[in-house]
Amino acid sequence: MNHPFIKNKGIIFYTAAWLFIAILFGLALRYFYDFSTKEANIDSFIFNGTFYCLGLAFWFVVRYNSFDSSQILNLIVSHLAAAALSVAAGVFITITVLKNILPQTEESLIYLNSSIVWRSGLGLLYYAVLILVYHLIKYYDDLRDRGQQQAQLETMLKESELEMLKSQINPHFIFNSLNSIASLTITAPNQAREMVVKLSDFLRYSLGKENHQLNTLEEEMANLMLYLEIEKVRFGDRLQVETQIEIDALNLTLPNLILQPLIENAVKHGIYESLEDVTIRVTAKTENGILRLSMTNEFDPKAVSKKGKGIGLKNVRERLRVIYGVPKLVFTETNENLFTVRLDIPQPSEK
Amino acid sequence: MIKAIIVDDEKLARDIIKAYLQNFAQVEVIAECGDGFQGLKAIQEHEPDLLFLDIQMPKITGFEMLELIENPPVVIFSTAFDQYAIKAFELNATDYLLKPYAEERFKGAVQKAIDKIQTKTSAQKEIESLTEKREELSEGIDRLVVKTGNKIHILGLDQIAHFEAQDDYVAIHSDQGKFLKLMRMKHLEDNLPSGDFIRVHRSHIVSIKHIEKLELYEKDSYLLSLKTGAQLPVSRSGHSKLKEVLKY
Repeated sequence: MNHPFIKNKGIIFYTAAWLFIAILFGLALRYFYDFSTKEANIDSFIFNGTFYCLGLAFWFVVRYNSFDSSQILNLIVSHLAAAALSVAAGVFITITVLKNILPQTEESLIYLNSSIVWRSGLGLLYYAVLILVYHLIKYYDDLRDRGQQQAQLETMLKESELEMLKSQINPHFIFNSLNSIASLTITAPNQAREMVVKLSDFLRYSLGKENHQLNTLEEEMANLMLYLEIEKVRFGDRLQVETQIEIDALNLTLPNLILQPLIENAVKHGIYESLEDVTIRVTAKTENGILRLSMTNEFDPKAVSKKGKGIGLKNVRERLRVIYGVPKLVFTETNENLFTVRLDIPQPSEK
Repeated sequence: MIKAIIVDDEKLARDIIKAYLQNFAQVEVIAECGDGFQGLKAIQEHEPDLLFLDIQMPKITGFEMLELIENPPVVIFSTAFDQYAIKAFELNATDYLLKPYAEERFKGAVQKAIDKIQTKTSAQKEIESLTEKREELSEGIDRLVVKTGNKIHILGLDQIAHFEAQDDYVAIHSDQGKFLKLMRMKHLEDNLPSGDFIRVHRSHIVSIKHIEKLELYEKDSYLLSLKTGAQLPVSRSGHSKLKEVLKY
């Protein structure tokens, strides 16, 4: 932690406070000792100026002593030592300097010698007040630091949570695609090359994206189509895709890869669990500044399917909740053999 | 000549197996199937010596299909999923190919299979221990696949009222009728979801949802009535389990 009165504008307040004290001090001298204005000002300037400088150093007594009950004795000893030393030094310096500056009369010598007692008392008071002020500043700073740390920790937690939710690209998709590529190298090398490029593009987009980043629907749709094209190579004509995207919606934003788990679900329940051809429909439109997306897939309602864990849908809900702070943005609907999931994506207000 | 069948729902995955098999003049692919139903039919029709089998397929898995075959051929699994096999078949599977696999790896697997087929005796045992192994490792049952004649039924757990031990078989009483399946009660007891099913007797496991009432009919002897009308005896330990679950 830096010195509170040296950094920023602290020195101005510190100086102002001391000026105020010095004026009071000078007035007191004139009142009690009948000093001339000049003499009073010189005395006040020397004495308070000395403590002004010493006072800056008191910070380090506070800074390097922790306020800890187990070290209370240490604390008392170090404060006593610091107080005694600094007051002695302050008074000694003041007296020595004043002896040389003030007129060398017997009267002023007596005054200076008798002032040692009250100067020491005043010095102790300065010390005590300054230490109190420093402690308050330190306490306040600690509190603020802790608040900042807390906030930082929370952000980090949120980010790692998002990272986890996001990074669930199905490894089986990758391995099965690689197996398809291996097969194509024998029967259709050109297609194999194409598929390597598609898979690479898909992975580059999916693995390389930063957290929180909002992408345009255009980018996200392009990636989605890459994924579907790869699946089409694997499953041939069994997979049909229909899209209906409003041109206006293409520039709207949505969290990166938010559609990926949903399309994977659609393919899984459609293609992986069905013997029939399956059509997946994706639509996007804009309504009252909200991007409305829907994805529909056919499925076999009679299938006694292995229970899905519902992780994909849950993650999408959770991510949207974390990003937009709105609880309900995901809706699902089952209608005979059609399953539809709808997303309402709010748009940043500046647009 | 060794007759082989390939069961995989992806055409390209079947293609690469066929391509690699070109190196084995003694192996002939007599059928390729895109799902377990077709696979079952082809196996019954052709009685192959060697089966290349994917695990995750539409409708029924490779494992479920294998359970329905009485005299299974030598099996080489090929799948992208490592969680099933790595543990279960390390020792017992003829081989287990993790997609994508190297041609050398494939050749090794087929060579192993050929050796096994030529010393036919051991093959039968192999498969038996293989399916048993699968039972032991099963991470919970969520449906059962049974066969009557040529028809395959996939039974969801909510369709099943109770199980009854019958020698080596278990009779499954379901909405779709009564089916026999070669399995042990212990396996069912261990792997059915414990909140839904309860073993009330040495020979009976019931679905909690299907329970109608529990009656005392002799001293210390209870009779359980199901909504299907069936009445089952309840053993003493079965009774205490029922008490716990039904909280009466």
